[in-house]
Amino acid sequence: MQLLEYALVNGILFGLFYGFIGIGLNLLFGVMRLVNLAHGDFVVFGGYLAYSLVTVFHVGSLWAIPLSIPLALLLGFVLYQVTVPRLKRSPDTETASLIAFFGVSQVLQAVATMIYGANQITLPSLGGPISIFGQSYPSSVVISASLSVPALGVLYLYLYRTRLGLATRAVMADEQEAIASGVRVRLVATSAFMIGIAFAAAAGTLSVFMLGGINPTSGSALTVTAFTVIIIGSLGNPLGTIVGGLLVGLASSLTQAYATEWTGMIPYALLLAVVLLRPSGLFGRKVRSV
Amino acid sequence: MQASKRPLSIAKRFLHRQGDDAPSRRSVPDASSASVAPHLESNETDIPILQVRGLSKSFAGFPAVAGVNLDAFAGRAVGLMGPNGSGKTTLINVISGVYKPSGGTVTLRGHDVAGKPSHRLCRLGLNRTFQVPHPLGDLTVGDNVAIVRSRIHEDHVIFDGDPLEFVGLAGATNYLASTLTSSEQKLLDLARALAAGPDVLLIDELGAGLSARELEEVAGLLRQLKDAGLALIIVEHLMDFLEQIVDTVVVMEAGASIFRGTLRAAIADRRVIDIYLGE
Repeated sequence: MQLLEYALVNGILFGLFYGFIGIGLNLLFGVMRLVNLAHGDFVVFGGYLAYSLVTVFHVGSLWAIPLSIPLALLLGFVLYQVTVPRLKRSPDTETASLIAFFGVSQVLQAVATMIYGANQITLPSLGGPISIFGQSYPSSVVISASLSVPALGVLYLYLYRTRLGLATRAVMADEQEAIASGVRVRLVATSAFMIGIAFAAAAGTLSVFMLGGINPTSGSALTVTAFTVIIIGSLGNPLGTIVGGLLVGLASSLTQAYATEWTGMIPYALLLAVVLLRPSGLFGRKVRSV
Repeated sequence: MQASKRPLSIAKRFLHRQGDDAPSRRSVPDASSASVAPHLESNETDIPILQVRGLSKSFAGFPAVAGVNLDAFAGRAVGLMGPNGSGKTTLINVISGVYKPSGGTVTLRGHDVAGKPSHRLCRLGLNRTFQVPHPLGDLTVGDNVAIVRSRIHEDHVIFDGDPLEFVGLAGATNYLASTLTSSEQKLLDLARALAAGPDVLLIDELGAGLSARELEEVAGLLRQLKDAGLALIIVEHLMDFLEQIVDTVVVMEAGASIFRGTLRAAIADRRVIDIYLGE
């Protein structure tokens, strides 16, 4: 029973983190139909940003999150202006963006190697272990995972309690119809892009704790995880992402506990099952079908 | 979530400049129609709020609309008739900015608006409903109306009530739009068009697919809008429906307007009878 409890708690902690990682990616896809293959690299970018803030400016590790957000918003704004309007002009935005962001991914990884070297970097631990149901977990992991909850809350408030959020949901439902209703799609898209990148960067600081450290190529694995989460949860539905994250987290954690050799496979078997049996994701909206 | 059939209640008090007299059916446009809306008295009602001249639209060389003239006046309704494929919907699409015209002019309150996209026209006071409405199904009925951005110049807004209450969908505010019946989706489309605060409203076959009772009620709604001072252009096949609302009709055939006058005169006109019944 102890093993099960440990696996469940661990799965939920990682699931929250995975949901956090998936949110930004899903926002970009939902609003702009962008397939952001560089998403994990934006997360890692956030991690390195936190690392720089901690080592150069000696801020506390968690303070790096609020400090990195404005920088990420700025990066998102510039990147949007440079890439998105061109990609949207393509007759097939999904494919064009997939290729373009593959390039962005490679550039970010090369830049990270140039600045920080190829070795893994870490951040100082956030304190001693924390006990949950009589078992101890690293406080860095518990705190990082807990921070995902308010972050997801903020996104929920944005989408369901603000006028821009309402416009964002309208664009996700039907872009053409939203345009005809006078929704300023460009404003919605710019905001969604900036918020998506900011979410990635904020998750970046946490990723250093959750993964035990990052290196320039850590982003690739995070991109794969993020895609798995949002496809299971359903593309274009930011709140389905949380459930997708929890499912992937629990699946990984349970297999790790009971069938270690299957760990690398089970989350993707889940992905396959969803794609084949319920192509629109568990919280399916008719965003696309396979 | 199941949307049950809700009775259409015609909310009477949502038009803030509604005439008390029974809806009048003027056979010909006349200046006395100014009485329904006070702000019209200062303007000349003889000046059309929307003026379409020589409007054409070709698709790959095929002229779907060929040199049509059309005027819309505040507080009056013009019906657009004609057999299938005669260019009625294309004309509406060009006027409302869905297609760019191949030629001709569209003048809204004196400003040339030909070729302006729909959302710009919407903010200038010209809006429309669709033959097949596409509400944002993932959003609630209330949100569908809430996203519509209203006019910049509020002083011209004729309808300032709650559009959902006006069309009788207030009870469905929190339902997802995708759960509405097709008749209700049409009413939602009308509510969304009204939410933008238009003074020219283009209605594309709102009546098609409605039951007799629904038709009666929708005709009542459109009459109220007309009497409040909106300029209506109504594409419709159903003559009984048109008769309750329009002052004049324009009959189209093969992209051209072949008749303009009262509905009564239209159905007595030889050419109109020929195109409807064959020669």
